[in-house]
Amino acid sequence: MTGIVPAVAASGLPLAWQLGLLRGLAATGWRQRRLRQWAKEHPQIARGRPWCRRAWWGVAAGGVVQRHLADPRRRLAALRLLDEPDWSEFDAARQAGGVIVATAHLGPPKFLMHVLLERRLPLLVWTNAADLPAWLPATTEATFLDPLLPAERSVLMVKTALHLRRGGVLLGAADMQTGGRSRERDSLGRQWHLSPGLPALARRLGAPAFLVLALWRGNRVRISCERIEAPATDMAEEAWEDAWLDRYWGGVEDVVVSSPENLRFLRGIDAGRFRRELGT
Amino acid sequence: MHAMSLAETVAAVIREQLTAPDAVITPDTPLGADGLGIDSVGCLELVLELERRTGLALRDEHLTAEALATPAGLVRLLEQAGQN
Repeated sequence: MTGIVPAVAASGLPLAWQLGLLRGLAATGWRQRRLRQWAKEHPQIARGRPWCRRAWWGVAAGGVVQRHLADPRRRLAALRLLDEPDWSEFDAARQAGGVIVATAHLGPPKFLMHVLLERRLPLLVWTNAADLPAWLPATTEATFLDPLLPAERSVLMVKTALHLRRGGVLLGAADMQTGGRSRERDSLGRQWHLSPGLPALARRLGAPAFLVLALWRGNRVRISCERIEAPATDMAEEAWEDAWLDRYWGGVEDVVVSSPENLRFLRGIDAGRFRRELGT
Repeated sequence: MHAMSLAETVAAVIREQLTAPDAVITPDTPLGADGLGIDSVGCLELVLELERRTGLALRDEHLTAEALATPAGLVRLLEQAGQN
């Protein structure tokens, strides 16, 4: 067995202890040279060794939790890390019609999808269905459409519109370019490509939207659910969608700046070496 | 003044979407990147506007990439909606 993640996950210790063990290891600076290099190159996102320790912990903890989720005997321990939000505003919005759950590629993956599937909502998910882990609850209420299939993208947009009009819930992310068009944001020393699909649906259908994220908070995974206030109705179409994306991006940017353990894209930094060292 | 046929309505709404309104539109002109350049967000706008103009409500089971690929496909889609 190679890598720290499989070793910790197989230790037999309670999951909370495993996460604590990784935090202790992170504090030593072990195997963080590459992260420190990345931090030097991205000073607007990454700040110093404490940032590197938290970022390293996030990658390693994510790997340990994924191993628990994949094992039916240990799955419950991982799911017990979840703290759900107060859904009352979201549920109230649903009474009036379709609702958009706008998420982002932050925090441990698929936890949010798990929670929404467990709630048995009439859910349409924009995701790569071939990549869905077996530990997600089986459901007949959910539909999965892949936004990365170019030939199907128009079908996805129209089917999603019909779904929202029927009072369904859409789970999708706007923090990556999925089609030919994107909206750029220059922020934190780099350019981010946002997808215009969610704001276009929100505007055309008048659908309320919430920024919903499953994020590491300490050793727990907390789901946050914040309303994305709709821009003024008298704005021009493009300006409306830009204003919507600004509100969405504001919430995402806060996480990027303040919690390195939730930066999923860090796993891509020299991913081969991360995989070898961590065994993820 | 005659009522517009579905084909005429589709062509008119497509033309309104285009930045080059003089573009040649035939029933088989591709709507996407290989033709008129209407992307998925544009397609959404197009379909919702067609529903509004015609009073027809599209249904999931008729929605395919082929149906959304050309003006002729959109006409068939609206005809199917009218048969529901």
